[in-house]
Amino acid sequence: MTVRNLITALLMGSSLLAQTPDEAWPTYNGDYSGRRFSGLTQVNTGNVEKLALAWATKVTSGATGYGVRISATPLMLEGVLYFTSLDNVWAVDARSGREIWRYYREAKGDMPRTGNRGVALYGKWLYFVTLDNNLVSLDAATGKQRFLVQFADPKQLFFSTVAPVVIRNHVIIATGGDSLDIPAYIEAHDPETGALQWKWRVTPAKGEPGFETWPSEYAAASGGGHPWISGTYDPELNLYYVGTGNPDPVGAGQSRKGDNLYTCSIVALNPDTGKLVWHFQVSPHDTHDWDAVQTPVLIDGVIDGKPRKLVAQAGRNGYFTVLDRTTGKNVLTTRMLPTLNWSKGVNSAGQPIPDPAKEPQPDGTLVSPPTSGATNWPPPSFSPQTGLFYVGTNEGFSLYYLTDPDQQPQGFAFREAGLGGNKSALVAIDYRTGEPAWKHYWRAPGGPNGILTTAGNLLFTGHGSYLIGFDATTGKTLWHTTMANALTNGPLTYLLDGKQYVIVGAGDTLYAYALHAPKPGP
Amino acid sequence: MKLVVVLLLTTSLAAQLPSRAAIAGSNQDEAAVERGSALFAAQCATCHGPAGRGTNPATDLIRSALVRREQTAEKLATHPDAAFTKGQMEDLGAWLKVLLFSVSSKGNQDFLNILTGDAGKGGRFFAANCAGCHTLHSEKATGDLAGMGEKYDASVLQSLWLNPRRAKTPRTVTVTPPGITGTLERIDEFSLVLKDEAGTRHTVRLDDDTRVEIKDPLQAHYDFYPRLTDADIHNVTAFLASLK
Ligand code: HEC
Ligand code: HEC
Repeated sequence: MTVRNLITALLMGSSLLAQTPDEAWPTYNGDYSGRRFSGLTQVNTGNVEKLALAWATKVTSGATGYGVRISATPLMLEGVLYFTSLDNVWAVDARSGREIWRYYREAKGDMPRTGNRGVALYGKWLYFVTLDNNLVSLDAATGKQRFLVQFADPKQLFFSTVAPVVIRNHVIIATGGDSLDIPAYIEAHDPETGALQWKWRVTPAKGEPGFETWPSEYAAASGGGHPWISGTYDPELNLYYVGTGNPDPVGAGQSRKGDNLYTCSIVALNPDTGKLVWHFQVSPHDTHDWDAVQTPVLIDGVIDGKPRKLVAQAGRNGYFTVLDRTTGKNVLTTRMLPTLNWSKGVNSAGQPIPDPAKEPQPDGTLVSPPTSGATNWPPPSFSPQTGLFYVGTNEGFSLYYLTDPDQQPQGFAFREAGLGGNKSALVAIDYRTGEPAWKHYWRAPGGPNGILTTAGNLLFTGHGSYLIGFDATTGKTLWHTTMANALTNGPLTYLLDGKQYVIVGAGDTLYAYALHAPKPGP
Repeated sequence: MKLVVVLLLTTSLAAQLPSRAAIAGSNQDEAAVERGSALFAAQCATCHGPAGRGTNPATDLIRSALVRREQTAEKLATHPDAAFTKGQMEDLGAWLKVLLFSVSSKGNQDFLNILTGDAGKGGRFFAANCAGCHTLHSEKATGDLAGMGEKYDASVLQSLWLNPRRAKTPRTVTVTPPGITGTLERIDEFSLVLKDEAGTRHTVRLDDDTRVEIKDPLQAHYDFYPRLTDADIHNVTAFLASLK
């Protein structure tokens, strides 16, 4: 069996949560669980101080107008790394960093020139989305384009950045868009032809369940909720879990009174049909731009002595939520920030109760966290070895001003004035209690940044231009190195020729680290 | 630019109309925007509202896919009594782009009325909480806030007193080991630079066990946040705005 077949089998099998593919990194999160935990132990707490640069590759965009920021998590299969940045896809040699090919296509339109989270693999094909909303398939060996299908209209200012997720023969993608009151959706496409298989709309149409949480068809149809980060998947339950974005208009709630389903929610979809199986709204009626797209991480855990299938999310709104992933029922909801002040507490279903006084006001209201959130898209991690969920947080305040008191506000409709004295931390949360087991306050604010954990009991993340290795159990700093830029993606790791590599993207450069004198593998 | 002023009828209307920042940021030709806005006010606003939002969903031009696809001209051909030259169509197009940009771009909207607080209550709050560090009689004295209300617009003032831009005295730091104190020049996770009393610069490596105690003259301001109500904030802002 080739590694490729093995990976395919793994991706389709049911034992995914018990097994991470050590000799590959075949999906955005490494596997379907979203844990970003690797079973590799070659690099471990005992020898991490010997971790050193193996290679570094600076990539250049096909365009001259703007630089490269690698916010994609590269995939690695059979010795080749595949990753993206805006308008570009690269294949580089995973042993040396040497570029094998680059695909370039310039997105057209007025959308903001933002990042891209990366590719998906299926057989010998790669899939990614362009900023101007095309699903593109490339030949992984050559970078030659196989097909390009448009799934949303760039003129309406949809823009897409999500890393596709392949489940069996479904390539799952989603729309993005910031503020122009456009409807959001998730789609599955045929991996061979790119043809649409199903489409799930985040905001319901009249007559559908959830519609009652909107005052009108007009409000629901322009209600936003773009789910712009890849979801996770439980093969046994055959459920795809994804976090949805914030409602539109962003900072004004008066034209969309109600909870605004299914925005700011964790939803479980059947990947074969696109049917909603359950939902849990983590921010009813959001008015703070706190999308809930943060990775819903799957945890096979034990609560009160009983084995449980769980899903956990560290949210931009400042809450840590654990759900039963079979039913969507809340297990616990805890505050991640001591400063959080926008809710009146948590209701019996486990949802925060928004305080209307803390919605943006014409004369300003002081709210924690700021719009960038308690945390944001950079991937968190869960280690089944420590039972801890790791996430970067920011404790800060902003003034939120309503700027559009109209009965029919549109677009952003609010302004933020950022304040000072922010504190940032790397937090290790016990999923059974929702309380931190340890918290590392950074000496200077910054982040959040992407996180990786390994069976070597290590945690890797960045801060400033440092890449840092922590003891995952204690939070002790064990190793660090300096890069030319700050970390911009989620780190990954793999074993190749018996050598464990740790890979990170920082600005326009991909860095690979390995032990100086590697011991034989485990 | 005068064009907007003409349309400022009520506060809620003002809120819908593009700010100067939005007009400038939209990158449209200024003259075309001026002509387009006048034409829009005269010929379209009765049915499409002063800011193009419409009077019902069908007449909302800001959320209109057709407008975003720049197919306004084709559509207008079906409107009664709508005979526009190509130049007028371009002007209307420029104005529609401004309207769209104004709702969709971050930070380009005008603030509304911020001075809603009670200056008297703000003064009492000031006496109890701020007067230890600030005086109100001479602009020349360190920490004196006389004349604040003249110097700053209310939105700036509100941010400024919550989060002063800079302090006249620097941050100081004591780092142990090695146990030295000085002015903090730079800090990151693994190193800091300080200048001691003699003016000598020290770079100190930091690890988990290094104790770093920073005295930030602005910390008192940050420490207010969790304790403030929004009413306190608006009252203090109104008080500072009254210092003329
Ligand atoms: C007498 C009322 C009236 C006036 C004046 C008017 N319109 Fe309209 N317009 C409508 C109505 C009603 C609709 C919606 C029904 C339709 O599509 O015909 C509409 C639709 C439109 C649409 C299509 C919107 C969409 O998404 O389908 C555009 C574009 C438009 N108008 C532009 C203009 C412009 C530009 C002007 C000024 C030069 C203007 N209209 C003046 C009544 C008017
Ligand atoms: C512990 C001392 C302290 C307290 C208490 C304090 N401040 Fe300050 N404040 C400062 C310092 C230090 C600065 C920075 C400017 C400087 O160094 O003079 C500052 C700056 C300001 C500024 C900006 C001045 C400018 O011209 O830029 C305003 C306004 C202000 N404070 C208002 C307040 C208000 C209102 C309160 C009470 C709610 C308050 N301060 C309480 C120490 C303090």
